[in-house]
Amino acid sequence: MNKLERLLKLLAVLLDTERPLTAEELRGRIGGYPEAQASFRRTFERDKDDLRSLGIPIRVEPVRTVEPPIDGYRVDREEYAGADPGLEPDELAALHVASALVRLDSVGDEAFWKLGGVEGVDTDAEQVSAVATLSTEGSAGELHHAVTERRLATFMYGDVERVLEPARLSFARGHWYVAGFDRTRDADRVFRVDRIEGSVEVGPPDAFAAREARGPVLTRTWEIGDTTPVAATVLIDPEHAAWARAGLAAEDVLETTQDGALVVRLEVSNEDAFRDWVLGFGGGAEVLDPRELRRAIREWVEAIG
Amino acid sequence: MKVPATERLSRLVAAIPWIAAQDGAALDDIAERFDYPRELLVSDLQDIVFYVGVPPYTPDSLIDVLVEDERVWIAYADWFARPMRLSPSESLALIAAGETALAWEQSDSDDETAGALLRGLAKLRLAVGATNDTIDVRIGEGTEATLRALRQAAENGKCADIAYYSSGRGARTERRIEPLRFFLEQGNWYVAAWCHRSDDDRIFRLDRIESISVTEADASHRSSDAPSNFAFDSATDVTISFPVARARILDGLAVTSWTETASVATVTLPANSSRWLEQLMVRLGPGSSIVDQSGLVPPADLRGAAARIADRHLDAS
Repeated sequence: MNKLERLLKLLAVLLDTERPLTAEELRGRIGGYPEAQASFRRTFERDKDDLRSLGIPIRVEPVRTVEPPIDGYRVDREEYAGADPGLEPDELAALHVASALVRLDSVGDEAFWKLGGVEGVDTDAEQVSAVATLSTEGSAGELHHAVTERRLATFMYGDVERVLEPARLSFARGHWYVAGFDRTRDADRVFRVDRIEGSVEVGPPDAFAAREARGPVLTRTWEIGDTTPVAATVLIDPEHAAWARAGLAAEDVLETTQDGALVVRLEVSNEDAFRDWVLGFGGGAEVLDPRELRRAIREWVEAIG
Repeated sequence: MKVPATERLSRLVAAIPWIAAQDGAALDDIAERFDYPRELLVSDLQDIVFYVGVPPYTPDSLIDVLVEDERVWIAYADWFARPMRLSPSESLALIAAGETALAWEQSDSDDETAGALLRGLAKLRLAVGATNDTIDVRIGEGTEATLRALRQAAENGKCADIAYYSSGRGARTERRIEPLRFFLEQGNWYVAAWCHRSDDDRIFRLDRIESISVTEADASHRSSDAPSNFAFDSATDVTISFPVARARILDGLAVTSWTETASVATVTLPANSSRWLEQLMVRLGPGSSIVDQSGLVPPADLRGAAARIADRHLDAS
């Protein structure tokens, strides 16, 4: 029996069964496996790996009819197949064009086959030049899973293990951010996904009650931190005022002087990010208050050179 | 042509439910949709899929495949009745791509494909349980109107007058530009344009365009003239070193080379101006230094830039 036929039959049997089947039971039902026990085991393990590499969720569950219980295998149909989005041909084609426009690094043709395949779209012939690149590498996929199914996400961030009830995954300013309730800190937090250290462990679904996601305003990097917020006032020179205003909310601006300079007040819970934002104006911004943050800027630049 | 078994399998588990849902799908159509070489498709269907089933392997527990008159009928494929679920990263990537393309298409006033994309995206989000609230993709936030105006100017071959902010060059300039090409990098829209003020190609970041008006003046350059790589051609390479822990400050900057030890990174990157470099170095802070700026005229004065900021932050205020 060739490999494709064996894999298809294995998948059919795994999907069909209501209870987990042992390796020996699968061997009997599928046929075509090598006679010798060792080479059967090798082939069977490789087949399982191949199916898993395609994303097929093979469950391993104990078979209790034998003593002691041994591993059995099955594929849950609901876990295997998703809800059909029911895309019309023009909708599917539009998504296909979108993926060509956006040079994706993590979606291949397989995704479109699952949606019914794409017909008659020549993404080269259309006046489509790749206008954007977009990364969904790293843990963004895992966190998407965690957010949409309310699964706890556990990961290392800033050398601290976080247990997060993720509420929202956002793409902004070229990066993915996850916001939610951080059980470790007992407070709402926002994390930049590409700064998560190592991998994200995702727990079972419906692990927490949905709650209002704090809307992270992601340009406000000085708010993405762990320290107790401190109110800071900053003077911004007239030639930088329009740019500064574009990244701030109207209520941040305390005053606009006659020559067009701004006095703004920010809640700082990440001092490094605050300093970086201030220094991003070159010499065009001055921290007025509090004294400690003002001194921190001075000490920083005095130590340069 | 040899196609590995796993690749054929991933096509077949998608193609079988699709074919089963049609009344006689055309072989050519299946081959195109699922990128399946036609000869191989016919033999895989007849010689393999036809024999797939579950015990007791009676006819009603085997997949029924009929290939006739260039068409295929499949029945009794109950275990393969539905295609595999999109993986979380696939569905996230599709949503993100869709939102990005939507931002682009909606900036074109007479585009008709945006409707299909909008509907497709909504259905996809619904199927994977991703609401706008939970999966929130922001593309070119706040620059929608600027993008629309620039695209309109490009399409009609007109010049646009802009006020442009560049902190590295010391703030605001008024320029007449001819927009040629658009691209998105790090979530920001950019336009490559012919700049009358520089008499050269320039790249502008849309969120730094403070105001824009499309003029009646005809543009003299065409989008085919736009350079295919969007390097800032006025930039010159400089080499700097800094504590490796502050590497994130360079996020989003184009870098020519990067080496690092456990504590220090040494990086070569294009610098537009000495002010730009001074500002970057001040942000990188203590322990950072300029290794080589021989190409930069005038050279960056790091001490001077740092002293000016220190003076503004004296305690006596």
